[in-house]
Amino acid sequence: MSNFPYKRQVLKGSIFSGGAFLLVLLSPRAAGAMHIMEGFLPWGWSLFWAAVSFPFVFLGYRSLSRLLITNPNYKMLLGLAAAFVFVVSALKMPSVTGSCSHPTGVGLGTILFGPLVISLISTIVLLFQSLLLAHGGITTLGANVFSMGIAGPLAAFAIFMLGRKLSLPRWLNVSLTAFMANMVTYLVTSLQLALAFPMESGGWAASFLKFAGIFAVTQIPLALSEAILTVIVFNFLYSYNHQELSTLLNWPKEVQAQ
Amino acid sequence: MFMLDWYAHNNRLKDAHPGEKAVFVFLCLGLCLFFSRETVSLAAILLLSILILFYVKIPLGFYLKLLCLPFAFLLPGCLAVALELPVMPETAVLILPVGPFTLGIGSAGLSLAVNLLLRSLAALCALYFLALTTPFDQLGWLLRRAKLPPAVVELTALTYRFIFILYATAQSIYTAQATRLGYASRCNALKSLGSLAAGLLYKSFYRSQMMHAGLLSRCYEGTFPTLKTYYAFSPRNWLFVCGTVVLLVAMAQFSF
Repeated sequence: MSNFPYKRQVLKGSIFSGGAFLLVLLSPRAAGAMHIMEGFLPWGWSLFWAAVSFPFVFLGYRSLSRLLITNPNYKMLLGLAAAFVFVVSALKMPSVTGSCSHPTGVGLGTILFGPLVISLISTIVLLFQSLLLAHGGITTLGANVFSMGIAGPLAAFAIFMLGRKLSLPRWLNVSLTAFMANMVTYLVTSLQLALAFPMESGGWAASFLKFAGIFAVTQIPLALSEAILTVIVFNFLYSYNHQELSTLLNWPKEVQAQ
Repeated sequence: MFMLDWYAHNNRLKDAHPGEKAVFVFLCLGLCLFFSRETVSLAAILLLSILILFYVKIPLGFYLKLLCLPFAFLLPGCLAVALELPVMPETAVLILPVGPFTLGIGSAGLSLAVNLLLRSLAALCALYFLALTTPFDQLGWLLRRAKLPPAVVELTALTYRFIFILYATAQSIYTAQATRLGYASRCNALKSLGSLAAGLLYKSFYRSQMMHAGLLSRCYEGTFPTLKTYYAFSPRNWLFVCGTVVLLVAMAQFSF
């Protein structure tokens, strides 16, 4: 298996040729949130991440079922929230680099619905993304839920609360939150890939740099444009739907209080 | 956009027992992942593609388009797996000197990447088989049979319904904006998209309230009871599933 019939080829070039090579490979499609595709992770890691994600999703379910006893209309609202996150992630938005990309909607969702409920919502969203859009997969569902539904929202929520405490201006706080939600999702996904595929020399740390470096080409512009988009959405919501927004924004506190 | 869903409701296997389809798909997924051999993956890709194209009768063009979808992740992912930083010149297939480092693709990394590519494609074919043959009500049946809490299954069903409603709403808002040159420039596009998302959120919020009121007026008590559906097992399908398992396990004994 060691002798592949490929011709040995030496490309002499500077950093520029390497960069151009990568850009040509990566540019043709609209980039979306970074989900690990079906079958990419070895089975051990698939099971591991499913086991790690399960308690968080279970907590989300518990807080949901408690909320449902007092406010039965939350089921409708949550169903619509999940569908909203799904539809937003299927929109095409212009990216800062010129191509198109799909927003993830995680930052927005976290601010509106709180991190615990988002873990359950994003499990459902990811299931439908894999079945309706072929984005992500069933065997990698656990890993993707952990990066997009747990790590990203928790980091985003922490940033949002910190920003509130520091009384940052709203646009800055919201954009930082959306940016962080994306960045943490992308970094955690890179970490998951690096743990599953460590390099022979340098182990998983070197491998992490490699994965993060390659996906940075699509993910950092995505995070930036989504930060801008989220601020615009928030400004619209504040100026036109303040009432509904304040009802929604009370959610995280209610979830935490119970 | 939701052609996958259309085919799920209009195909030859839509009335087959959902348990049979799920067992078949999960066995294929599990065996491909467990063995992680090129031969198994290739056999699974061929078998599932033949099944999807000639038995389920999905048009070739659409199927090829589906297979190309995940390449935005697959290509950079496999490239990243294949890259080695201090690459050994003896085993290298490709060397890229970048500043002081020598990036490159070694033969070990390359074989791992090829293995990964085939495995992912095989798993993808299995996922497509499930997505193309199983309508959502059967998936809901499976989720209920998997003893998921009823609240979660209902939430999933609600989400499924709302996705289509919200998508249609988003589309009509988009058309209205686009006819008024809302997407003529990059700056306009961002602004329009922001108002679209905000409008969509408001509409979903409003709709959820209305829907709840509507359900309450129809004696809603927190659950959506449905008629029990019964599916018939087919011995022929089970024979096929067993044959597939034997084939994949047998293929695992060979290697290139």
